Amino acid sequence: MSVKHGLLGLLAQKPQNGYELKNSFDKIAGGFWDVNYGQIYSTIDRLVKDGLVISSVEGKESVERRVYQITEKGVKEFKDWLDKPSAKIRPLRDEVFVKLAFMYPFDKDAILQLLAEQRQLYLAKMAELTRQKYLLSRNGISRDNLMTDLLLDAALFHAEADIKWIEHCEAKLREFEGEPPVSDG
Amino acid sequence: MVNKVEMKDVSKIYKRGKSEFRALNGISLSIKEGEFLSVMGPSGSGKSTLLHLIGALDKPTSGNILIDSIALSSLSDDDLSQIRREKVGFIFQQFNLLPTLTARENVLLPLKIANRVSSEAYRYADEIIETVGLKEFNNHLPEEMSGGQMQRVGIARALVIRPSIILADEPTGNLDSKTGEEILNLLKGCQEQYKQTIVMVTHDAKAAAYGDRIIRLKDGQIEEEMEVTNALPISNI
Repeated sequence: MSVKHGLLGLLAQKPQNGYELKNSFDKIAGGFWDVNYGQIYSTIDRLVKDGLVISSVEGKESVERRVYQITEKGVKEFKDWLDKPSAKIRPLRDEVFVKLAFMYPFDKDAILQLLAEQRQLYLAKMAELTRQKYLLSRNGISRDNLMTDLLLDAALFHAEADIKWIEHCEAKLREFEGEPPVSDG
Repeated sequence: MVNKVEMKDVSKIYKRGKSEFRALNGISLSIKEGEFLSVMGPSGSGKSTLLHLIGALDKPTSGNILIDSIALSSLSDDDLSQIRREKVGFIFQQFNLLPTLTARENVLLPLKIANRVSSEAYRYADEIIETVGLKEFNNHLPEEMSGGQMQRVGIARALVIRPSIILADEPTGNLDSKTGEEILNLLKGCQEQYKQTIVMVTHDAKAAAYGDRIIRLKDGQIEEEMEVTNALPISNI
């Protein structure tokens, strides 16, 4: 996951200030990838330090704004990154995994309760994303919103995988102490 | 808001020889007019039984079910099949189209069975065929259509009688994810356009996420219930 390359990509489109970058970021990835101003500014500072972005002050003293502009080196960095497939698979660093690892002594009911609540949260998020997708489809998928639609899809597929995994855990845990599995019918 | 369906303490027990299987265990549930309800749950949790009982395809062992305030338990078998013909639209995972009939003939079939063959009914049928995007496929046989097109016929056939409720059983279970999304968008669109009440059974979270409310069954009971809240009401957009 790369805020760095996201910001480089946005600056490759046009110079922007921090506020505009936050808005642009939310526009392409909003709803499922929350980036706060702190992350934006700390990432931008690093980009400036690495010579990938330069900053300049525009406007009169009372309304001055710091605008960021991508450098040639920055453009090269972004294009190199863009052309390469991503070798990393999603890391298993979800909070839920960590919580499960520390559920000790083994308390089956507490784990099942946690998993059920987690599953509901994911489902609620999926419902929200689905609503966004439905509204997009109603307005007609165009070149402008196709990428948003595909990103929403990605978020939905990931949440679906998380829910499937939780259901899988629930079924295994229920069986673990000899509770008979529910028969098919 | 009017309740389209009321279930009061409904149980369904199947007897196999001497053993009993309690498919539904004291379920109470109200489904509001115009609501899209998703029903989730693992295999054997009672999802299909619930759908069959609401659709008057089967009778509960105990408890009451009302559709449009009509108590199904008070009805004879003939009256029950009339309820099915006139008030319930079914959408199936396997589409269940008649292979020798064209798309349009399949859509018109419920009207013929219910003996509602007025020109107004036919005009409405053609409007629905257009809504579901099948106008060009009017004269195609099911074997000449893709899965997505067949399910569009399935949706049109369910809508054509202006049902009180549509019952959909894994409607995207036989479709790839892109086609499934198109079908669910269409179903959601029909909910909106026709104020259609929909109950959809699915084990698929992506499909269930289209509901306004999602319930989860386990061992014949409602284990969890979730209103989809923090979403904007569609009509305001």
